[in-house]
Amino acid sequence: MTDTDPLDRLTVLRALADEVSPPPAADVRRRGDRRRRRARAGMVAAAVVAVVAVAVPVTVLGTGDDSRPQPAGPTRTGPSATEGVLSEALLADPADLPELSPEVSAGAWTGTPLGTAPVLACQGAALRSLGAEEQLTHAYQAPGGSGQRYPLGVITVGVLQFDDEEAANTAYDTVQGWLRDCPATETGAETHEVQPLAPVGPGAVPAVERAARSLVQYSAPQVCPDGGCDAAWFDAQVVAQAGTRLVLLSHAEIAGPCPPGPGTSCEGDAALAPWLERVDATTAAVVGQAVSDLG
Amino acid sequence: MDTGAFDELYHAAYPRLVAQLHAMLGSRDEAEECVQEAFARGWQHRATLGRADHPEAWLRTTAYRFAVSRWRKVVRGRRSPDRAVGPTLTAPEVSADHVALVDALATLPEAQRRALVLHYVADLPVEAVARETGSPVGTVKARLSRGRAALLPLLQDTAGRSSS
Repeated sequence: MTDTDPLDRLTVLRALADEVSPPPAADVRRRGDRRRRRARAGMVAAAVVAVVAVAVPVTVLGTGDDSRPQPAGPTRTGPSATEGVLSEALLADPADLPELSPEVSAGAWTGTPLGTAPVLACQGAALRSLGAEEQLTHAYQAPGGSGQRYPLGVITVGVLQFDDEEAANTAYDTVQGWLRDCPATETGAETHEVQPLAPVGPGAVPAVERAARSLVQYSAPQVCPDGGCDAAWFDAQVVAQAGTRLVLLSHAEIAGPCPPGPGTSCEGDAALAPWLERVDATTAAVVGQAVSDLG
Repeated sequence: MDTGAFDELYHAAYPRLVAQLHAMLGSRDEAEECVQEAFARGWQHRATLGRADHPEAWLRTTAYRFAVSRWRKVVRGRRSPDRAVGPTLTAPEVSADHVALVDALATLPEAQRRALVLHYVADLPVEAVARETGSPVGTVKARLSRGRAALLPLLQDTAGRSSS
């Protein structure tokens, strides 16, 4: 922005701030307190739904796994009386995330705030538009080696808590649509390929009712800012539902044109297998922790 | 975040946020409602707000998303916006120049308008606009460039009318 920029005229719009008189802060706080009380009342119902969801073997995943967590009792752990339901305790420990391929010199995963950035590359709208009562987002990065100023792996997580199961179901369907169609309106990702949506395999995500995953490949301009190389993000995006809670997850690694290694094959299932093993491990760690207070 | 810190943030940021949201949404009433809702949600989730690196950005994003969410509901339901979140506000008139600028912005696509307002009105650098909108820096630069190209003739036109 310079002094001669004609668009500097837009700064006139800041002047409105001088004319605005905020209503009393106490009124806004009261409204916030009312919202909080409503949310808490909703959570009592949500906890019951969660218990039912775990107790009744709804088996989209069809795990048949005897180690599946037992139904939670009527006393929930997690939210205190004042801090809401979602907390950082629901975020996976970086040490539980799988190491990247030994072919790349990535450092250990470290957690970092995601802020308001999208969780999914394919996201078709802001997460807030899904109508969750609470949401928690987080990211993990595996940095590159010396001379690489971009991360070699990025995992992003969104945990969304809804007032009721109908709202969660609707949101799940919306996210599933994002995974299937990859509108990518929030990120502008230049998609090379989106594989068909598929249910997440048995055992990958314990304690959830249903989950789906899509694999998508898009440009990684971080690697070659001037273009001219075929680096790409290989991104597995997952949505999982446990009662009134949704977990959104993206596990992305830089590679291209072949999938992230190790391995020498470049096409077919065998080429994807090593990467998908890491995706499964991430899914189990992240989603498992995100619903750990539900059952 | 305790009451004192929240109130201090509220009094400092509320007028700025209303001005910015007005530029994005084209309606001062709508802007005030959305900013109030954002602060209410901020107080509801005050622990989260207190941990935010940039609480004002958190509030601005919340207000904007609330507005977008309401638009979608309106479009889906083909009904008037839900006014139950707060009292209907009657704002005083703003200057003709202000109206002309907001009208010019309103002709732009939503993403371009938001980028321009964040950059020129909220005075955020491109990187901060990218963070706040969740878009790559390159995408923000493209939006600013396209928005600028679309807006320049409109601004020159309104400047000509103002000076004549």
